[in-house]
Amino acid sequence: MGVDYKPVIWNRNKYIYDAVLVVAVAAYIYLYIRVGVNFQDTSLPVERPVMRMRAFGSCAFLMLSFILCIGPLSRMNDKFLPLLYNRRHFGVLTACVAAVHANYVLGWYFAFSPTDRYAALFSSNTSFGQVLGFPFEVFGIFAFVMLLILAVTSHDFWLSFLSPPVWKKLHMGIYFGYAAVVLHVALGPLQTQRDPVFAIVFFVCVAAVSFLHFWAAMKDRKEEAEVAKPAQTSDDIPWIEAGKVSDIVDKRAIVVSLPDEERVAIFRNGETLSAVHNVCAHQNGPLGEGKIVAGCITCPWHGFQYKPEDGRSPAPFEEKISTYRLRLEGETVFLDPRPLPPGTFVKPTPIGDVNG
Amino acid sequence: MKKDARKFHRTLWTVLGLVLPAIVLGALLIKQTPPETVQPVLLEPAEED
Repeated sequence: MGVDYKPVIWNRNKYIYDAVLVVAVAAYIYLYIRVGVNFQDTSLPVERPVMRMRAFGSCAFLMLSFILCIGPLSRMNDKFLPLLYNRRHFGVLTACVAAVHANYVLGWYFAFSPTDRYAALFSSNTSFGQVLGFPFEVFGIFAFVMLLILAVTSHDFWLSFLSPPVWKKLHMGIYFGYAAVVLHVALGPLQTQRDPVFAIVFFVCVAAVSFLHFWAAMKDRKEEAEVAKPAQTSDDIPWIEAGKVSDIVDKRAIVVSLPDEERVAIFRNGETLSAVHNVCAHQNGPLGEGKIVAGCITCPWHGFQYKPEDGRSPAPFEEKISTYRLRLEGETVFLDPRPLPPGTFVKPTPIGDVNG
Repeated sequence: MKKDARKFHRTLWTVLGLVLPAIVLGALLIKQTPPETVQPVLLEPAEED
């Protein structure tokens, strides 16, 4: 949305968000190393670098699990949306924490290897044919590389360079990264750690991420099954029945699934209705889950805005999305499912005295 | 999300949502029992003829 290149468009919320993140990470690392040592198996004294390795590794895992929960939690409840707003900084910090973990691993286990430590990392264990003793490091390496790629390409420069659909596909790689982290921990530390708390926390995190995304997938499947019905009309326009005016809360939207599986958000702005494509031009965010702020449809993910009547971002910004035509019969809203070119003006449909 | 990304996302998580907890449970099942502390045993030197 920015017209000039800026490394980060800072604002007060981002400062607070990042400050809370850094303090929370620092507190976790400190407590893990200082207090966590008391819970270690005393028959096997743990070296300080190993404690740091575990502290940063577990921190990165918890952060990644939490990041992956933010999306579905935001769909469950609007109160989680502020967490989503600056999620990219959360991800970059996670990559940094994972990098420190990787550095401790290399420095502790491979520093005195007769071969190069990076070569030793790949060649010291090649027991790929067995479950116990499987070289779990490869999953960690894959996840770390994935985190690095996503952190480096997280800036809006890469978003516009790659285009939102390609960028979004690339960043879905985080799910494979998370699966790799789960395998890394399940075949590595989980097999050797005696502490039951570790196993419980690990399982709870994986179960929470899995359940929330599974729930979101089921919800999405259900919503898509509720395709709007074609209406019986006298003209040539293939109107479909979108819902009732009373279903639309002021400044909010209802989302309609079209027969071609696209989705349209119908917003109510006081006494008028407007329909736009449900996909934000920035990161494909769900506009229909946002609201109208200062007269503009505002994406719940990063606050990109569009005017309801023409789907254009207010000047000086240049993003635009498709608009749709609406018709009102009594209290029933009808939608023309054919998208108009992005940025096309459509006169907002007055509700009149239909709904008072 | 665009419809293809949305479909991919939900298909992926329909699988991962079931597979990931199964991996963890499986890993817990095969978890190695840590070796017991074994008392050192002194080996008698072999008798010489």
